[in-house]
Amino acid sequence: MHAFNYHRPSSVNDAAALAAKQAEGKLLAGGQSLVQAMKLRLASPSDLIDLGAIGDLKGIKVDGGSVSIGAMTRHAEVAGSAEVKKAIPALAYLASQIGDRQVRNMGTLGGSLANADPAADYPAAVLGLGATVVTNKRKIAADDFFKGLYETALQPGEIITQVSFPAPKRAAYVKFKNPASRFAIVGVFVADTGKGVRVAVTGAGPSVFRVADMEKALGAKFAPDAVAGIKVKADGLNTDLHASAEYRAHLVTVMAKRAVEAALK
Amino acid sequence: MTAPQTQFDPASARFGASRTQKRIEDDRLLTGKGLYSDDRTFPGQAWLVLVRSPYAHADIASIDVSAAREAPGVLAAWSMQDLRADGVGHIPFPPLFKQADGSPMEAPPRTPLAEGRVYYVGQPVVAIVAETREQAQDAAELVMVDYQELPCVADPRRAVQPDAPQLWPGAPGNVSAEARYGDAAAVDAALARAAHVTELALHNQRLIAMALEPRCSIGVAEGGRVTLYTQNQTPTGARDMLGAAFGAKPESFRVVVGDIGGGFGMKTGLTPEDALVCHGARKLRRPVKWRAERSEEFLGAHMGRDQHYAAKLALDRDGRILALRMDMLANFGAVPVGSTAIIPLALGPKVQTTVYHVPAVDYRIRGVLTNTMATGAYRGAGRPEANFLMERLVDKAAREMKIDPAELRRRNFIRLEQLPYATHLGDWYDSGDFGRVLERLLAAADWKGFAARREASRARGRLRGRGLSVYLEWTGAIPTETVDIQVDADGTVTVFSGTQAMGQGLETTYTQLVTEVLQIPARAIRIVQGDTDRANGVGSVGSRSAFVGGSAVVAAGHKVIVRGRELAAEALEAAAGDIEYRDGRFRIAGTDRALELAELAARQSERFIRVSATETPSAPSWPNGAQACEVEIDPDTGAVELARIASVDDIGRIINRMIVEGQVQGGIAQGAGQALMEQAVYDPESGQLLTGSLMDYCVPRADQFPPMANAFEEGIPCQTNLLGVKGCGELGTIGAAPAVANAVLDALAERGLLHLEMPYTPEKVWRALRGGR
Amino acid sequence: MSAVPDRVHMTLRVNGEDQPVSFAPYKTLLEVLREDLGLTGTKHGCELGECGACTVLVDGEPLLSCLELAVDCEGREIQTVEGLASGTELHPLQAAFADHGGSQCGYCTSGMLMTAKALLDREPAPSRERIKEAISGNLCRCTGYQQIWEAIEDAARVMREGKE
Repeated sequence: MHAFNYHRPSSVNDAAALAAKQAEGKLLAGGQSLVQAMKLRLASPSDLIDLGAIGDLKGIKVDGGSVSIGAMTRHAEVAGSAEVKKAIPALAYLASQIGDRQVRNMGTLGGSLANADPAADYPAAVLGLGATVVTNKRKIAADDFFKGLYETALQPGEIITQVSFPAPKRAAYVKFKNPASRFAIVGVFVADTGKGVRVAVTGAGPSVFRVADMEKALGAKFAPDAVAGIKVKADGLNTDLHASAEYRAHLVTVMAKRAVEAALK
Repeated sequence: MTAPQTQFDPASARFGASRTQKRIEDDRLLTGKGLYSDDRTFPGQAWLVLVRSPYAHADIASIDVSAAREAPGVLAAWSMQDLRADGVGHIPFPPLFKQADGSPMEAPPRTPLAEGRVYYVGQPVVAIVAETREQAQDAAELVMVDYQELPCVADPRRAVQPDAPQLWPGAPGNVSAEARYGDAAAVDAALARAAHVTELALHNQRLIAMALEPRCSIGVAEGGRVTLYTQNQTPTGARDMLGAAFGAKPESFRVVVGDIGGGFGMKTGLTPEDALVCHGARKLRRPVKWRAERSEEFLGAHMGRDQHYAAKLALDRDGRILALRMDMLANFGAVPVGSTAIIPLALGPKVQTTVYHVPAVDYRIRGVLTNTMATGAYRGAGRPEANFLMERLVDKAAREMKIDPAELRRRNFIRLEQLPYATHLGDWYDSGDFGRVLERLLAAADWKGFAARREASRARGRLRGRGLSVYLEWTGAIPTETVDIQVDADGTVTVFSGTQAMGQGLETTYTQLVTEVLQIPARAIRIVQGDTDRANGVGSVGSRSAFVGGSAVVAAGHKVIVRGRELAAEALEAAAGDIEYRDGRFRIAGTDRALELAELAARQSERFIRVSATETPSAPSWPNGAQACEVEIDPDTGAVELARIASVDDIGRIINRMIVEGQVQGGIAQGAGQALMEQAVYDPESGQLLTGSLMDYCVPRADQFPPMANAFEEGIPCQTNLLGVKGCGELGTIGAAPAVANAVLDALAERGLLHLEMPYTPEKVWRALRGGR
Repeated sequence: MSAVPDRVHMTLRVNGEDQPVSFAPYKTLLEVLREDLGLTGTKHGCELGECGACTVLVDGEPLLSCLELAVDCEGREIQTVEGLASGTELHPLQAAFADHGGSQCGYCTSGMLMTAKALLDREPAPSRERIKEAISGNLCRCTGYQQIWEAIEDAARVMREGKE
């Protein structure tokens, strides 16, 4: 790792002020992607602004029809939260499927979203539930948040503070894991929100995306066979050593069908 | 040709008590007190970091290290030119093999740093030494190398084509070495008269050893010479090669090895990094340490397997094998290591016919240079590949001929009355009852209950398949070890062995042997390995440690008693013939006049008794076994799950059951890993390693295995060594890959598929289920 | 840009003891444990958070010490393999690993033990599948894992009986 200045602000405002001052600075959440990149010398920030001491960024609140989760809340807390399990079991389940125990004890919701890894799990829940990403500057609707490969709507120095997930009528997440990395080769989050159905796919493309045809079919009939015949196009999907675009396109259908089955259980 | 003599001593059957004894190693390894090379820190230690080639094949037009040399904390920056100026040469490979025209094997020499040209991605080009690792890494970024890229080739099938890029002038057509075995005319004739010929082309894919401990070496100038602190299965060999690389006497180096975090064959011989830290110590007179990053382990540690086969198996109408023809291209990589050639050219062929009687064979094996990291010893080393080919051929033949796969195997086993059995390569199988092992396995695996389990799987929407493998290992490369035992005046009994523990519990196993021979408590016994000043030998490779090393330990123990009897006779003023030994005491028979071992040692002028024993088993041993595997396949995704695994192994006598079970289970995990998920892949165009991290190279995890049922056939001791042991380190791996493969193909058979290449990744299986589309 | 401080000084609480320590701020917890506190039982495996060999407990939870900055650990309870035994008495997990052959080369063992401890501290009677899932982030290349989960099952039993 290259040397850097380490900062540990105790408030979001302080963190934002530091970030504004240090053009080459980086915000540190759980550290699993950033510290790894720094060790590989792929990232060399001049300053590291550790968000770990900011109490406001932590915690889970269930309020009426929604679950608000602080950006620095660890995956393990979400997976283990009785409140989340009760309000949005699919969200707790998704968190329990991220990486392994060590990863879930380190990784944070905000870190995952800001990093926007194409194979990360959380983006599927955020987009699938139509969540709202709250930053120190504004509220961003899930549909406007993910912009592409490792790209989000966040501006320089903008800090995710929490994410508000509306509780759906029923929902489920099913993931086909990369056997080596345990990231999603394809993960599908299906939510029947009461006002409509949302289907979000992670792992398959450069960024998480919705499948309008499936949403429409499920809106008409929320049943596995409603999506069984709907194929997404392979064009533009990811191809790597583990899965071709064609195979990923196929898995989207299989995982969507299984997610609907799981949501109905 | 005469059969080897019997050395097995039935009186040593007590060593085959098969007891489980807790491991002595665990006192330190379970409490964080192990001493691996990275745990050592020396005063004044500097760090070495390497600049590695980003290209698979390129001429080095120039290297500029001037900026790196000026960087903070930098002590030195070397290219091969600098090393040459200091008299450093290359690390030799053993001159054992020839090309087709009889000239010696040729390949680019293994210089510690690339000289003029790079041959594979990850080849070391420049070494930086600095006060800290970070400073050395910073300086490495300042090194300027001007590469002029050359066309490259990563696949040996491409490399032998006439228009392929050429790696080395001395190896025309990229064929570095070639071996032929058998009788081509006899095989031609057998193929002509065969009722059935099964043909198979397959690739035994390249693997990465992935020992959890990354390599780490430290060179330290001590007392006028250099000590290499490292992890190495063959410390004496490493020392001797240091001598060769530096043009110095081997004794001007010492190699010290502590605990090793897994070896699997990869931590053998000498590496460029070892040579470089030693050069650093000589040149800078400071301890110089290098620790591999995980990516360097992927790129720059030798890999395993990577052989392409075309084979034909001729059978008569009843499914009896008439002949085997095998033509193999072994991917050597670019710059061979010590074990590169011997594995495909010599070790694999030894067991190519495995447990079957094959009247005629014809093998052609070519070792091919490609722009990839060298292949070399990795668990099994040639024997998994040979057994995999045979078990796939036999299984395919059974399906084609509509004969039950167990029955086809039964018809072809070497029978008891054929033992000792002379092989086509001039070896003798001394013992084994392959039919008995198979029948025991079929019972243990509930082979007959499969149909019901398949129905249950089907009801859950899953395909189920079952697979068998029967297999044979060969062990005993360089079948000699020398062991010294010293008895000190305080009663400590120290065993010095040149074999090398790397996780297989040798301290415990050897201690058990000594407690039995000398009838003394384990707490009095010390096992010394891993220090070329104190013990030398071949080291631990190819499952030889108990077979050769253990036999030498027992022989040395017996020698302690013989020598002790003479010394006790003098001390007690009696005839040696009247002295009896029991429980650590020499006693004049029928009297109460006796001396403890310690007392006897104390009476010597040196205040110790030391003996040395060299033991050479009369012939290799042939561990063998059978495995059964069942898999379930999700037809929607192609994902394969291991459902059941059972094994029955004949490893001769068992010294410590817990240890051998662990060896077999760990071996099975590596073999199943090869079948289902592991593959090192180079991009055929660029020669870049596509599986350069644990994110892409898939290593088996805890949640991927069902409980394994592992049994042993203990009634067939090896005849060629004192202990009757056969070796157990590699059998699990050898048997698992074909058992899993045959199970996957059984599940896919209803779709008419007769072969599919490993690893059986979900997409590959999904495509196979769709008829290859 | 302000100059990067060479070293930070702080007190880390490791295995129940406060340890004053001074280190470069970019060091990971793994590096500080091994290089500055002499606790070499925790291992460098991949240094990228992918193998689990560096697992330690921080506030009772298993973390990857190779990705955790040491500066982030002030005021937190750090447990390593060196703190597992009570004096000369092995922790039931260590004893069970010895009984069942749960360690071969020993390199993954520290991380494996710590992950298992976190599991059993929270769940005294985990199912076999739960154990396998819990240790699925800890790679072992020697054992095939069976003797490891057998050991953890046995240790769980011993620990439950000890509490009765």
